[in-house]
Amino acid sequence: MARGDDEFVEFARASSARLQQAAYLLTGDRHDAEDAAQTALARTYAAWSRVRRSDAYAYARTVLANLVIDQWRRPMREYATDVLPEQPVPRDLADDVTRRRWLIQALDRLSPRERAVVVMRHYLDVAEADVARELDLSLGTVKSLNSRGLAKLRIPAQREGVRR
Amino acid sequence: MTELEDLRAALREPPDYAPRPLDLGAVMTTGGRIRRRRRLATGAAGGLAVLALLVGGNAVLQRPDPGPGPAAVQPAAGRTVVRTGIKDGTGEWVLVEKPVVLDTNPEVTFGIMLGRSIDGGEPVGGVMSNEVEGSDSAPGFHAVQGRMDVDGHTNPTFGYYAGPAAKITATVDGVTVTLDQAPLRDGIQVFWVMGDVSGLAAYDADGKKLPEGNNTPGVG
Repeated sequence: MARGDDEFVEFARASSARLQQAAYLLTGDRHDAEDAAQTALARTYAAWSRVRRSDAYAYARTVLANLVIDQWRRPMREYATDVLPEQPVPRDLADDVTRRRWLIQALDRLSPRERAVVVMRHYLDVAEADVARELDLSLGTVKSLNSRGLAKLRIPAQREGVRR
Repeated sequence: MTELEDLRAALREPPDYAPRPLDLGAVMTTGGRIRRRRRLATGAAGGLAVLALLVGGNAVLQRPDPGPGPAAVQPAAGRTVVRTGIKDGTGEWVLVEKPVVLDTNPEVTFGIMLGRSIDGGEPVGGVMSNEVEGSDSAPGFHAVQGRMDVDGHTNPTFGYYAGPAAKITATVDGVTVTLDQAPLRDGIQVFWVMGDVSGLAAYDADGKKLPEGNNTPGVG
């Protein structure tokens, strides 16, 4: 049965804010994030007849992550270095401004794929196997990118336990 | 809280600006355009398979010696297939010439198709592009097709230049870069780059700038 435009509108309205937040974490730039989220939704609409209801958000998320990673695949662009931030996540919960500023600056130090894996695993709560499939990477590479990304953020490696 | 939990909490904090309201009209207009382009590309790929049968069928890519950079190969059917070296999953983006008949313009006789070839096999999921105005061999850029996402595969920007282009440059993400190129046939160079381009320019072997032609990418 063909999916209707009204169903897409409902989906887009429900997911737009979260996709924009994910895009902002991936790009670090408000305008890039707005454009990327809008493009991801446009491409989801283009495929809407083939996207099942339960997969719609995963589809949009996959398009967004790959779109943002591809934006970075340019010649002559310098990639992030291994310079570590001076401290891990600021723990002063009252100072939201400090924490927000730390977060984007710290994420900027990650390579595009490290950043995508960290955001997908720890903001979008995507399982490792799903990250591997959506980014067309091996499971081992996803684990490695996650570990390296967290290490650059000065987060100690931890066993993920029961959280998938 | 552990440091990982601190990170997760920090990721979930809203940014210090209000997200732009969703522009549903723009989303559905753009999405509809992509959808129509995808249907056209699916039809073009089917046409390519038929063409291969008509010319004797052997369109299997000849793999050149391993090495960096693009390669133009001449399979037995006499049709040049250009390997871009850009991988897409288990396949590689390739460019191939395809005859075109336009009722509205007899000066267009060919186009170029970008498809994915897996293990040297027939390209699939093709994106077709051809000139529509004037001669397909007038000096300058032709059939420049921008980056799109079709069925989850993101294609590079591609097109061709008619003339003695020894170097093709463009602005990609604010930086001027030299694009990969290869001869499709005499006087025709195909080019490609992963990303959105502007300011396409071509130069001859002496560094002199060549005519621009139609150097604006089309999308959708």
